Amino acid sequence: MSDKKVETKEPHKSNTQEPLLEIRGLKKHFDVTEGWFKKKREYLRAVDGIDLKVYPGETLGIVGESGCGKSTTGNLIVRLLEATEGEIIFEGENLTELDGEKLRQKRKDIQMIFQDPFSSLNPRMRVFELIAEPLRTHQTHKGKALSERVYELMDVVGLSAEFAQRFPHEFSGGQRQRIGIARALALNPKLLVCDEPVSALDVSIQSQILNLLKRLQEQFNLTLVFIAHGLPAVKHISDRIAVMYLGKVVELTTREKLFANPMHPYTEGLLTAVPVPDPEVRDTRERVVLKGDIPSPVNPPSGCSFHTRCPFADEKCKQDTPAFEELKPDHFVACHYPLEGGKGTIQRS
Amino acid sequence: MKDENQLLNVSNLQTHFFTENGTVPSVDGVSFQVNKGELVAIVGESGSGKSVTSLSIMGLVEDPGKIVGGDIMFEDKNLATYTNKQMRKIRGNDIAMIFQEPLTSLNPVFTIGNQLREAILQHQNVDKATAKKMSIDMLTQVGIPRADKVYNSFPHSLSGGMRQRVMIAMSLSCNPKLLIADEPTTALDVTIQAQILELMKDLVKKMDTAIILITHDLGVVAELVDRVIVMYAGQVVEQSDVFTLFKDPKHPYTKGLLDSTPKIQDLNEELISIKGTVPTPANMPEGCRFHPRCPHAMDHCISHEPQLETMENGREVRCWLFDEEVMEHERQKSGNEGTPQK
Amino acid sequence: MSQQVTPEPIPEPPVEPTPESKRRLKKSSPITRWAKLLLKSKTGTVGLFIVLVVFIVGIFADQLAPFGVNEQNYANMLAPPSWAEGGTSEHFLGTDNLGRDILSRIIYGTTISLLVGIFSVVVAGVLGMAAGLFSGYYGGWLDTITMRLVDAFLSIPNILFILVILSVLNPGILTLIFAIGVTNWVIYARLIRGEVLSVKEREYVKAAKSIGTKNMTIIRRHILPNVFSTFIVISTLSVATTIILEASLSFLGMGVQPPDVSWGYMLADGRDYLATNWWLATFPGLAITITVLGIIFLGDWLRDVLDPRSQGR
Repeated sequence: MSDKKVETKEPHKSNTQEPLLEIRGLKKHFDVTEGWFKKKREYLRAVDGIDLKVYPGETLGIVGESGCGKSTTGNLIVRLLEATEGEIIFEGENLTELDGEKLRQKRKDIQMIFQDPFSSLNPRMRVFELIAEPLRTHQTHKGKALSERVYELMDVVGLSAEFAQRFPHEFSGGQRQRIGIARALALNPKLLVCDEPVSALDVSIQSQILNLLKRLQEQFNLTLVFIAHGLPAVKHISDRIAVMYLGKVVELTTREKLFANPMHPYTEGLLTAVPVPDPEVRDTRERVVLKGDIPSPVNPPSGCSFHTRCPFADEKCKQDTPAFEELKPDHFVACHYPLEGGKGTIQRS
Repeated sequence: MKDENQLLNVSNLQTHFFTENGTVPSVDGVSFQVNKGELVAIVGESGSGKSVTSLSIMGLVEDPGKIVGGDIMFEDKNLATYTNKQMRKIRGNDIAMIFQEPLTSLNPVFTIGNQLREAILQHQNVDKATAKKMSIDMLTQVGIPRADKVYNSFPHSLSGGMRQRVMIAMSLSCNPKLLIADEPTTALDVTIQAQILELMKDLVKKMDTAIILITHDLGVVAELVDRVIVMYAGQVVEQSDVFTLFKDPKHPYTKGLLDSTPKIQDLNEELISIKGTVPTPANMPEGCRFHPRCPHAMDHCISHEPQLETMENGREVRCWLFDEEVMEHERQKSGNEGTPQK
Repeated sequence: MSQQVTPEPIPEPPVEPTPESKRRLKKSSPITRWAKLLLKSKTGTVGLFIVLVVFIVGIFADQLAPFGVNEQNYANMLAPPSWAEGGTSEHFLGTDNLGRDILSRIIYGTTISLLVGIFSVVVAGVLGMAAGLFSGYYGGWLDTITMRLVDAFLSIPNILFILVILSVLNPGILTLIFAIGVTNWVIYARLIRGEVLSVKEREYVKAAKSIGTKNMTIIRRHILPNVFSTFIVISTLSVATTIILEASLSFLGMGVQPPDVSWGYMLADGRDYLATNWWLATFPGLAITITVLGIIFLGDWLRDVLDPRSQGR
């Protein structure tokens, strides 16, 4: 951390600060038992006990491959899914216990941006109606104030006001995502959960949307939970990054530490798996190609769930589940043999 | 002009889609060559026409679409004039294709082995037992563990990565001269993508199959290919060998694409984007198709369409910035302001 | 951490509308837009024309019919159409076995056929739509009960069920509409529920939920408009089957009661004479066919118009 850093506001740095959102022991199991008469019920452990804190003003990136539970986590935070176990505490209030009108009011503070801009907008509503919907739902604006607010929001996300009477299908993916962002911003939320907001977009458009989100975060003092399937997408926008694998967080630290010194072998695998857009290094660069497939979350491996693919796994990893511990300041890892000081070296603790 | 080494020569290919709302020129005068055993990437975003180009080569353009002009010379055969029946002999035998979504390209009601064996039996003159042996052999070669077990399983029981391996095995089973891979790793997770890329690299070394890789991911391109063709709005805008292209991109679009591709090792790079959106065929800009998004657009670009010009080392660029005459004119114009052009 | 220190995020120019979109912005009023869309579709125009004609005939039956419904011409029983061999100029479509003018009876029949066809579809549609929407959206016990009820209805032959209702209640037009309505709702419930199940999983419904939209509003604004095209398709086909169903019921003597007349009744009446006097059944049959075609054409067009993707073309 450079000194310059301390001068600029750095919300997440101080652990003394109250987190805006705190997740404790969160679990979501889906019943996937087939047939009525099976004695043993089968569960898909989409999220299997995670703890996270999100501090005001920061961006927490959540990264992982398919089946790791990152999207389920996002849906749990905005209460689109009910948690099986655990607590989601937002400004001191446990969201999992809220319902009815109280929950409806709370939703104003926590908004979501969806992955697919093609399916997340009702095809039969015009842009104006789409952006006005949250305002009408909570009756925050009416009449002239409503249309003023809608046009203001359109301006904020970089959509020309002339688009107001058009339908979503007339827009490209990037423009639709802007509409989605305007909707999410309409109620002045404190927390924005972005569920892979750029993965469905063209490369040249992705950075437009990322830049926009970053600008809006500063402008409106937003706290972001940014979910992505790969590290490149969260690289720019995140202050801290949580890496998930099979329903658990395996590593959580600042962006800098994660990229410079990943401690979990899975994180290292994820990092080096990203193709480097430079043909010069293609034969020389170090790379850890993780073997095998991602196991099914219905039947996760025993012990450390990563042991089936880990290059360093031994008997201990097969039997004991590693604890998620702060091995270094601000650096949480769940691994028996965390990597230390560069790639591929094992340090036994 | 004909090169001994040349496998495929696409010249001035035009594939149009005739929809209710008018004609959509998805591929508008595309020309390129592929040599034997060469790895070529066609790069572009959605709507660039890269996929339609590959489907045209395979003769798989679906109904409202039609090849309306140009030649596709494969060895000495012009595929553009081939009927569906003639194409069936070429497909799978000489040219094979792998698709983005491996689940939909495998028939769910037959076992992996059954489909692989059928593919071999159809194109090669061998008996069933040999075909089975060849299939299991192929599966082992693409890195599938317990290949004999997988041989008897159904597509849905395999993971996405495994299915893509099966597709690769199937497409390579008849030793095609050309393999077209349409976004083969896009639907896969990053760590699985890395596995498939490794596999493709290995296979390329072993076989002398030429590959056309269709992708939007410049990272994948840099890992794998020899030569790159960049497409934008139905046209080729730049063509170069991979090293030169990444070191010194000429076309502003290529440059923008490279800049907006995230580089994982560089933590503090700036996020650069190309402004605006990809034009739809209904509102294709006049002049250079990239000019509304181009940071270097000049007056000349708005009204004049550039041609694909050959530069040093066989490199090709479609941009007025590299036309001496136009640039001289522009310089003069900015020299004495106010002088109207023409 | 120079990420935080990076100067300014690159300012982005607002996305400019294309010339095409600017042109499109000068939106005409909905009515002229619909009219334009209607004229563009040939089948839509034909459909609307047919339906309009049928409606006008139905409303002004008294004024249009050359003879009364049951006015008999004993001198001209079973007369062929005027333009066929042996026809009389008085009766354009000939007469039936009691010497009644077929054209006049078709004109009078229009009113009742339309009433029965349309209103029983409305009854069935409203019931089925509501059942499908709520059971599909809320799921759980409501869904289980509704769907078992639907299964029960489907397991009893339609016509038998209607006959039971008709024999318990007094036969008549209102009873007929009610009977057909309460048996046909299951078709709507089933299909609409299926649609709702798929629509409610779409992300825009999730998006509405995450905003805090109330369930009823979600059903009204997000689910209903997106299952409406299915509804239109079933309804238009249903009008057709209902008119034919009414014909069968009339044939069994449980439908329209004389002195009223409907196309179905005429069709049933004329069946005995099909081999010898073809015009008795053919013309009411034609009337049914043309009307049903018109309604289907109109329905198809309506479905397209309601889809925003078809606009601006």
